[in-house]
Amino acid sequence: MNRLAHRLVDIAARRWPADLATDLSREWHAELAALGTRSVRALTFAASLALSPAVEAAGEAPYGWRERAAAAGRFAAVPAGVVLSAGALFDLVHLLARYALPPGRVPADLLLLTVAAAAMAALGGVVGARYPGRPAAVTVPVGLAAYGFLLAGNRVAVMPFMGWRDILPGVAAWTVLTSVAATVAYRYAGRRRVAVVTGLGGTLLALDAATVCGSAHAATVLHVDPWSAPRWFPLALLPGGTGGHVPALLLGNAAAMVGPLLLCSAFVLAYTVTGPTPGRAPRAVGWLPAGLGLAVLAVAVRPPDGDTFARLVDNTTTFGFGFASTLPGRTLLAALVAVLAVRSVAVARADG
Amino acid sequence: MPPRVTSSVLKVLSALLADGAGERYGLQLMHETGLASGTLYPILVRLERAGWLRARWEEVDPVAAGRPGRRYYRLTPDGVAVARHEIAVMHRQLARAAGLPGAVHPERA
Repeated sequence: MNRLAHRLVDIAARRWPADLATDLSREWHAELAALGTRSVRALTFAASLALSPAVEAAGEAPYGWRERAAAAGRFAAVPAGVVLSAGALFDLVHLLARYALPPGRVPADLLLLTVAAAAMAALGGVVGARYPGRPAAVTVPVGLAAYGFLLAGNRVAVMPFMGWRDILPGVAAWTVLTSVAATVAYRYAGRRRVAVVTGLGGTLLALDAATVCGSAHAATVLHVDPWSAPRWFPLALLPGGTGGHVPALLLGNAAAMVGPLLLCSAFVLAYTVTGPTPGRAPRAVGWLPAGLGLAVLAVAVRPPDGDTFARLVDNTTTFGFGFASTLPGRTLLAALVAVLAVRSVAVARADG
Repeated sequence: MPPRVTSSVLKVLSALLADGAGERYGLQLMHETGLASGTLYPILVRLERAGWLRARWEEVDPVAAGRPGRRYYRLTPDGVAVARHEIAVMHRQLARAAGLPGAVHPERA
């Protein structure tokens, strides 16, 4: 155990600024030697050094736990915002197709979905131009946020096959395969057309595989022919009654899961193929208190009574926002909107 | 730039100010302040950079002592002045918050 403690101290010292590392390493080893056989204390001493942020280099601003937590919050807000936007847009398409369009208009459904995908792609392009990065660095956080969103939004289980055993394989398949497809597209960044075609083909295959993985449990229970699996993804996006021998329950279930993922794919693909544009880096603005004030106000306002709001949040009309029926859910949502609003203002100021 | 005086920094300053000799080694400071090593050492480095703290190596025969020499920290005169001032400010704030009769408004002090 003592050897492990000395090893951890070596690891910690390597992370500290070079002008301090030698002296501090000597000092920490001396303290470990003084602790002698008290191995638990020695291990705690070493583990704390190995896991804590190193001191900043001389002349730099401190970057401790507080700064790390703030950066993590800012980082997590983007994938959460992407997934919530995708969920809201998909629900909007669903609502318009159900209540505003005449039945049986297949092209109109798909047109609306295409417009929603274009909106998400435009968002991905803006984010990709401002914050370029490796595809996996955006796909994995979006996948994690999608997993949380799909589970949290399904507290009222109107969809029978939306438990972790359905969502986990579906979202995991989407995350891994979309990361691979986006990475391949990223390698063709210099040849934009090739990047778009390979990225588009790869993400569609990833969505198809995600639908199969996410619906396998439902298909087993409903005794669906496994050979029809590759068709579940396109059939899930078409209006009811077009699925042939595939049960509508499986397709509706798959649509609720893979619909938001489709829009997330549009974001990831556009993010990947858009190159960085020169511009000033956005600086933090002091609007956070105002944003948080708005968030508190949003939480304090009591939602309207009656059937309309209830149907919107209990997943019978839209899917994925069931968490908005609880106060913690609304608090999180309002705080996220506030953070994203503040960041948008920062970016707009940097551009202006 | 002087370091931000957080509650953890105040604990370290108080521990170093408490004793007349004012020399402490890392484990001793951890014990007296309750801070973890990962929190304490960045603070010590920042205080040393600000000129509030001075460090020296213990002169000891490792064979005779059965351990290597430790590093000792003590406040510089500047550090003592800063520590006294910050601790006094904290006392006034605490007294005001608690509504104690000895509380004095800083402007009137």
